[in-house]
Amino acid sequence: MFSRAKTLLLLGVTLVLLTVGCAKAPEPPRAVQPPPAEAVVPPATPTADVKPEPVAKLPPPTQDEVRGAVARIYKDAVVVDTNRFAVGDFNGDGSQDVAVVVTPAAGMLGEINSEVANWILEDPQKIVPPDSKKATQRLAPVPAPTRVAQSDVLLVVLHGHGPLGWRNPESRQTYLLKNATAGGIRSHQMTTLLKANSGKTALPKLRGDVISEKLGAEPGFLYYNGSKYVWYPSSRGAESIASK
Amino acid sequence: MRMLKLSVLLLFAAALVLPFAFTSTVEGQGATEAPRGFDNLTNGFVTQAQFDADKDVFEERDDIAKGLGPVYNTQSCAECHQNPVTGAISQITELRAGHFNGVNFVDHPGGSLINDRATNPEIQERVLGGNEVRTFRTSLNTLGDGFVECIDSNTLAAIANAQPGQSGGQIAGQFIQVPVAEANGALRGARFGWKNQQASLLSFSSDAYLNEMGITNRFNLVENTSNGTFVGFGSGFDPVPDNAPCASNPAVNCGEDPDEDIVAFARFMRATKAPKRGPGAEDGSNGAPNPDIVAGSNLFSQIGCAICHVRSITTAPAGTSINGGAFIVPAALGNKIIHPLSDFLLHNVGTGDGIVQNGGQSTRNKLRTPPLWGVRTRDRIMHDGEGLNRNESILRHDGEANGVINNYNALSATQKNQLILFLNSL
Repeated sequence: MFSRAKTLLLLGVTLVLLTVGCAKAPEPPRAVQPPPAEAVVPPATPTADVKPEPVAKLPPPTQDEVRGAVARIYKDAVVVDTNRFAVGDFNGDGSQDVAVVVTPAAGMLGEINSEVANWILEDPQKIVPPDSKKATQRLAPVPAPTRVAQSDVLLVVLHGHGPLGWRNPESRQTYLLKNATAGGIRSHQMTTLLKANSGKTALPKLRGDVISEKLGAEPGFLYYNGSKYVWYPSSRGAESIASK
Repeated sequence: MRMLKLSVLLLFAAALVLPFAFTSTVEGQGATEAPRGFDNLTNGFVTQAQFDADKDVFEERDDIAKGLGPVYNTQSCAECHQNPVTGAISQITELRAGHFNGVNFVDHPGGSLINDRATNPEIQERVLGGNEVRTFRTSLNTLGDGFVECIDSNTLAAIANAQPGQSGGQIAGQFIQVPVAEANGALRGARFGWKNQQASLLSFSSDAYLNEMGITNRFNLVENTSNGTFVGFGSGFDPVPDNAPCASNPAVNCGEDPDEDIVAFARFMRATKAPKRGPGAEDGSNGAPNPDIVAGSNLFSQIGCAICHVRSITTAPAGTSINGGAFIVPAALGNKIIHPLSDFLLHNVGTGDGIVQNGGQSTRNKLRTPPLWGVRTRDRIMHDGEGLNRNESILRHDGEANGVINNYNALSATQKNQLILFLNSL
């Protein structure tokens, strides 16, 4: 057995060891200096204003080109009416787009209506733009998903990419529109429409050219609002162009 | 025997002491994952009690006596930043408008923001004729923004510099620098807002307090107009003067915000955790990985989405001075790995809204890559909330994203569904 004195000594030594070990070591003296700063990033080279290049003068489309462009994305899901198409810069990005009338190919409705199809399927007559005269308003209810039936006549709008426009093999963004055509489509330049409606406030915000036609008995035009194609009947106040 | 006992005792004492003697500080350790959760708990930047108090301020509904309006959008920060917890998102949009004169974007009279509400019907803002550029903007998530603030600007610039090489020159994010209000306008790499309007959370809080709630504050002392007409104190529409001294320093004018709520807003956002992944996430952070989510995650990178929706970024080390010297990165936010799925840069992917704010005319049709963390909590996506399903929203990408979307189009239906499942796990 340890004697009491030795035990106390041992405990004392242990205590000293613990105290010394647990004590925070003195930090080395530090020079007073500011914290490291986020390095200054050199000013970015000013980016040139992004102005849409005027749509390059391209040769008139041939029926084969139109059929080929549609097939590039839709493959054999639709049948192209190569007699009814129009070109213009409908989304206003400076690249030529094409709109063409199509019908569903037999047995391809499942592909056309797929939720992961390579096209945006929509009904422009169901898109209700917000009323620009009201600051606070209840937005229109979200329409039910559009479904294509075998008897539908559809409109394909294929957005172009780069100087070659819709002919560019890389151009793939496309909308498949239901209730958007009765067949006779024409392209009208945005500038023409703006000029015809100068001073009127009824015109929606246009990003690019429009596709004019008559749906039923009513003239009007399809325009791109940045996310959807919207049907704008001339009865809303804009100068009709389809009737001219 | 005695010696043996003595030796055992000394060894025991040494074993107790050694761990303390050799424990190093946290400094110098590798980056660690930032905490994640939709749980109303602090990320460690402040105490839970402070976090709760700041959250109360963030949720407080202000009234006219407090300075609300005269034109405004909401009565509380949490009205727009609430789903599923305070600080997150909502379906609420704001309206912006202006005019494009063929060369430049011109602000709507009174500024591009058209406030949706007013304290008096006579001063309700409306979009005036001739302002054909109009867009909605959905409310952004602020959870985890403290970590985003602590990303070194040079990290963002480096991401921008790398993108052309990663994309055959198709993708080139624009890095802009914007003034930091609390640093006397010192410039810093922008990262907050749909147009990258802000670089610091205090500047962002100040901007939002004025523009969304109509409450002037230390860094924004002038009330918004109503379609260009002055409606501030003295006009008869605003009973609250814009000259209250700051409680913390009476020598400073705090406008209608003497209690400096903007500081509490910024502190709250800095203390929020990053959004937590959903069940089955490929990183194993929420249960066993779902094989389809794993496959979708891989496809997301393979087809190029991750060039802009950057998966992982590490924040600056603790102790780094940011925001023009106005904020020092704290330990809770420094050297943290986050997964925002954004590069915080401006891009033209064909969805541009036509509005110019802090970035100059070159940014007119560009938008900041929205961070996809927490996107599963949204039913309306894209800047305007027009994307009602994931596939359609992906297909809306064009412009710089053209090549990536073409890769997406080439996927099989199964692969697309896997990729969408991955998005719905974020």
